[in-house]
Amino acid sequence: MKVTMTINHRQRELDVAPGEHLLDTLRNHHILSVKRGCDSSSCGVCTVLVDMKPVLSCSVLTARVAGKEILTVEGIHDFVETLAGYMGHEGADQCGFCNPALALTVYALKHEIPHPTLDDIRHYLLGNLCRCTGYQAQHIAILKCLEECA
Amino acid sequence: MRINELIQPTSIEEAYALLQEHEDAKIAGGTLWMRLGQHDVERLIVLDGLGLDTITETNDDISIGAMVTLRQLETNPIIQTHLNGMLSRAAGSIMGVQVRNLATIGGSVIGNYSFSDIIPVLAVMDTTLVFHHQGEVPLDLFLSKRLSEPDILVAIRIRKQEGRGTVHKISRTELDFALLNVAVTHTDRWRIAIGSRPAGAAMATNAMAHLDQADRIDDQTIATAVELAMEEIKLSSNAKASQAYRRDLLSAHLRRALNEVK
Ligand SMILES: Cc1cc2nc3c(=O)[nH]c(=O)nc-3n(C[C@H](O)[C@H](O)[C@H](O)COP(=O)(O)OP(=O)(O)OC[C@H]3O[C@@H](n4cnc5c(N)ncnc54)[C@H](O)[C@@H]3O)c2cc1C
Ligand code: FES
Ligand code: FES
Repeated sequence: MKVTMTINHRQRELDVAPGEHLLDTLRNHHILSVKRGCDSSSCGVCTVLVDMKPVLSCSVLTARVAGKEILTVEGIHDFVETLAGYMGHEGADQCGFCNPALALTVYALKHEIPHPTLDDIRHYLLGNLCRCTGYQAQHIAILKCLEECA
Repeated sequence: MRINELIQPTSIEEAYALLQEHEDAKIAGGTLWMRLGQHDVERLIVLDGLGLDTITETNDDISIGAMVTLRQLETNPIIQTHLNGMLSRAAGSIMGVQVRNLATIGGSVIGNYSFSDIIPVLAVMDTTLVFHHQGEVPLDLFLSKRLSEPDILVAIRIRKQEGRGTVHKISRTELDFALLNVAVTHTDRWRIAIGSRPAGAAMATNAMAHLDQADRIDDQTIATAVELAMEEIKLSSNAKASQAYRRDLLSAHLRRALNEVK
């Protein structure tokens, strides 16, 4: 079936299967920043923003996001660069597999809760699993980034 | 799970007609749980764009559309204030924000999962399910009988009540299923539901009657209510927790919950 949506600010018309998930659609179209981890709604590395809301692309049917705006890290380049600086400074950057999903979720958080506390950050990012950092450094980097860039 | 056909009807009437016409058709909520199942879906009927994703209130009721997400429940001011925001807190305790932006209250109710954090809370509120064909079905009737024929859940209606409510979800980590759920409301009467036993939610009716009949709610009344609940609520073991541990949790958390809302 043909569906139209905006992906990273560009209108796209795509031919998708009825049961196709957004993760597969995006990766099939060479948007490889969106990762596949558990593929069962648990790890958060496949996060993308649909109309600014973080969702699991492994679990969203592509046909259901027709007409919506999809953002992956390629669409929020400036913010990602800024956040990456803070992450590096705090030593919060290791293998990087979780980073695209994390950056997108932080971007959504920034719009939903402009001045988050550390607790707000922890709660909002609970679904973003990271196998390397132990979270503490990530959360401090995010707090500093959002405070200083507000 | 494979989906062979996706149908987007333009009205609930059309969706219902399709459901009647095709034995192999299924209604989609957020499809999060459905996706984890092994079964292929021949026809998936989605209810997007049919106006089932809003929360409204009148003087007497709160009406939650079946497609309202857990995240909407968590952040909606009406839900955040009714009975101390217990439904909002329960929804906000489920997985990460990416799951809560997809999972619907309709899928949570129809699924009637034994680990549900939502059902025990709805069970201690005055909750009615509004189906397209069967009309209004009280939640307790739905939980005891299940659906006799395929139908579409349109809304969840909660009668507004003055009073207090609380919910204790006990889990090993914030992303894990509950080891036990204890939900209590104190309005013009008491209601206690225990979920994740690990079986589905059960009402502690003897404990509720004891509290309803008591002249005053003091430590002794509460201790007796907890004892009655421990006798009537069947707990068992699974990989997450033993029956003995669940008994300890029930005793401690029910006492605390009753004290919070007395
Ligand atoms: C990884 C994971 C962890 C979870 N952890 C928890 C947890 O800790 N606590 C908790 O409470 N929940 C948990 N859930 C469950 C979640 O909260 C939802 O209850 C679940 O995903 C079902 O909602 P859904 O919108 O995805 O429904 P779907 O999967 O789309 O549907 C579920 C069932 O309901 C039917 N259905 C849906 N909507 C309607 C309707 N309007 N009318 C008629 N039938 C309908 C479908 O046909 C299907 O049979 C978890 C889910 C996942 C995927
Ligand atoms: S791949 Fe793990 S949640 Fe989607
Ligand atoms: S940095 Fe390796 S998974 Fe997060």
